Amino acid sequence: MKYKDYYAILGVERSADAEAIKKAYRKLARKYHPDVSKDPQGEEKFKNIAEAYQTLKDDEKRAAYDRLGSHSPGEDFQPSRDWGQEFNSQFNNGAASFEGVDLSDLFAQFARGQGGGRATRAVAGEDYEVVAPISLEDAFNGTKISLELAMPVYDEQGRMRRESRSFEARIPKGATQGQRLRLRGLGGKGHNGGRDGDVYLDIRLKPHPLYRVDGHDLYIDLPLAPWEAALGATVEVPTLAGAVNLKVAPATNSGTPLRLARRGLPKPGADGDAGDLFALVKIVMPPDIGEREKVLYQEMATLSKFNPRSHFAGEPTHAN
Amino acid sequence: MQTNTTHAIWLDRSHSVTIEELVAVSGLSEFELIELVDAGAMTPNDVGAARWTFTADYVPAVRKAVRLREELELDVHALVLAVKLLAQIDELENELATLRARQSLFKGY
Repeated sequence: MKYKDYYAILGVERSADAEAIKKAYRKLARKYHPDVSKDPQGEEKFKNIAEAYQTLKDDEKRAAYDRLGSHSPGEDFQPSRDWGQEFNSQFNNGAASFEGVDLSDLFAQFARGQGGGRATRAVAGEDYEVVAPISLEDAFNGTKISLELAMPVYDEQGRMRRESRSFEARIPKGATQGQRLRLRGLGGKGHNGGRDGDVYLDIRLKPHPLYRVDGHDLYIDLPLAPWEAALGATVEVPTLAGAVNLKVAPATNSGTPLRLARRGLPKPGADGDAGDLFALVKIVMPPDIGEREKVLYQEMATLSKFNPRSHFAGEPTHAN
Repeated sequence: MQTNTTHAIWLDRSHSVTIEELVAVSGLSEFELIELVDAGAMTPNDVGAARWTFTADYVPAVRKAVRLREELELDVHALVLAVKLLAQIDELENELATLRARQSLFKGY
């Protein structure tokens, strides 16, 4: 197994007392806890910090950890046969081999075995929280994702090892950004009558080149030429179910949201309800204006009495 | 490869969980949940009902609260504050997502 220097992880001396260890843990936990930290590495750092604290805060575990000796972080090592025998009562069974056992699992096992003999109390299986990135099209149609989780398995002596387990989970239609789904019983197996753990999926929608997402509503920019906005037009708008024709009324302003009812993401449930798609009008000038077009614009400027800034007129100025 | 499609449970506002289910999946006791309700950090669907039910989006919220309690060693008062602040952060993030969705990204040609 790979050695981890729990003291270095917490930034304390090997001689630190329980209070100093607790203080160091709390300081680091506040900094790196994944629910409050913005550090992208926070989750991994916090996992190591929590693992170190779980071992060092317990006098018996700390003594056992200290007796493993000091190694370089990441160094491969095996606890000695003497170590296994000395701490025999803290394990379900004092088997000599620690092959394939992770250091964190070793001490998690340690807790389970405390009191001697095989644990008999009900222990719930582990829950797993998994971020599931999916495309907007997958959210619209429903999809299947493959999950691979390191699940604890127990040998006939009750010793825990982790084995990779793969399975597929179906994400039904109706999911959107931040949607949580519970896959009951797909987590770690419970023991002694404890419930099986669950898998919690946290759905994240991958950015889409056309659509933006607000709950089950979608937003798309709808560029219009000035004459389309002025005269009205029927334009083709892409939706996740295929293109539809949208009628734009004459004199439509930039920024106007045109609602395409129930063309957004489907909502959970069998009633077929869905969010809306909003096409946001954006009046766009052509990059080049030809001579003839210029003449027409000049003619329109002369003809029109429209002042788009008429509301400026009533505003008080600093000169007053 | 094991395929399982039958256990997907929506954890959103359109679904409900009983207080017993919330206790089972969160690790909080019923007493602690009642403390959170009394402090205004959670609201049952019908506070006058004989047995409380909650919208299912409380499941991930309460699980997060339990993690904070255990991993940051919070007492119940700090837990209530953390739950309220996390709910506010969720609300603000949702509002931000709404504003971003409504903001045109098209910059012209």
